[in-house]
Amino acid sequence: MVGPAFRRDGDATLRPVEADDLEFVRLLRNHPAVRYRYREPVPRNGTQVESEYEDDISDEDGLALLVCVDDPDGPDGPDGQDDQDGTDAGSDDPEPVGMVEAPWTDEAAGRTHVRELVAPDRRDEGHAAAGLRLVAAYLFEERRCHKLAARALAADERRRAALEAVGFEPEARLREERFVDGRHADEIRYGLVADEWEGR
Amino acid sequence: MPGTVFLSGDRVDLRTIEEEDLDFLARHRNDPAVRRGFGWAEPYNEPRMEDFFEEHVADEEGVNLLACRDGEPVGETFLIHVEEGHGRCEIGYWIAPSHRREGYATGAAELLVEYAFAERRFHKVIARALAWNEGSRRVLESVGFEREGRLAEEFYVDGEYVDVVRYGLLAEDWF
Repeated sequence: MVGPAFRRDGDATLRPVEADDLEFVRLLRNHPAVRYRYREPVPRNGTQVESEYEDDISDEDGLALLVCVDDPDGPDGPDGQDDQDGTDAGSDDPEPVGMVEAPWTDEAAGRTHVRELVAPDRRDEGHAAAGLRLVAAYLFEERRCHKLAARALAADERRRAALEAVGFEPEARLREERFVDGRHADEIRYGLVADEWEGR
Repeated sequence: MPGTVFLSGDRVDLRTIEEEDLDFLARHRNDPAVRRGFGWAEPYNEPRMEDFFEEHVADEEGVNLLACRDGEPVGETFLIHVEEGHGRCEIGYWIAPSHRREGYATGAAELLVEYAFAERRFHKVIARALAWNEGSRRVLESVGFEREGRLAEEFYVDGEYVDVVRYGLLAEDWF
């Protein structure tokens, strides 16, 4: 059972990460198609994921949220329709499809780095952009952030398209910045400034 | 008594930072003429300087060095954002206002870049400078850094958001 909705936009929600979600987090942490997104692609077992959950995710300053989508085919129908048990809990069977994280913040500058991760079997369904849009709205509207920064491999058209769809602007091409798949790959640095954000 | 010379150059030497140097560092890390170039907004009192010494200077992985001219400290230089897995690190430096325009920053930056490539096997060294900091940008460009982009409204200094120019230097372009 996933946690309560923290922010919602249509059928996409951000929800706090709960202990029950750690298996999903561990999958993202270790999956070859996702782990290169972390600072270092090192293995993380259940105990390590749990201590990250205790120390970082559950820390007062930590920010990590599950990206979920309502599953209309689940036993709980959409809001306003009776669930299987004849009531309507309005929960709409949220299904975790990814995560958004703010691994680094400079409070004095009002700047936060954001990272969105999508489960490998849920790609190309728009969840990256939905998660980024939700976390941008939260950070700009509730946390008084002035700028969000993000990075994508130059060759990763899919992630670049998601960032650009949300309004992130390419600011720099970082040559041979990250070691991925046996070579030093270029990365694009993106920025989104509060007053240029369309969702404002 | 300044620390041991770690990297020796024509214009400056880079020496280890010892506890006796903390007064010099505190004086300048608190000076608006130094800290505004970094967007540093926190005061450094004695206990905080001690923490800095213990957590960064004395850390096993820490590379913080004192730039000295004829044995006298003129500034500080350091490696930050060290990413061994990607073969990348960032250099930073400041020179005391009374010692500027003598080429010390360029001398210090050259020594640290050479160290990063020749001794540490880094693939890339990066650096950032606030857009208005033409002195620092000239230093980086004369050392051989290439401009990789301009980061909009990246820091908040003196009541306004300021852009940052991002630089990179690859090992293959250094040797």
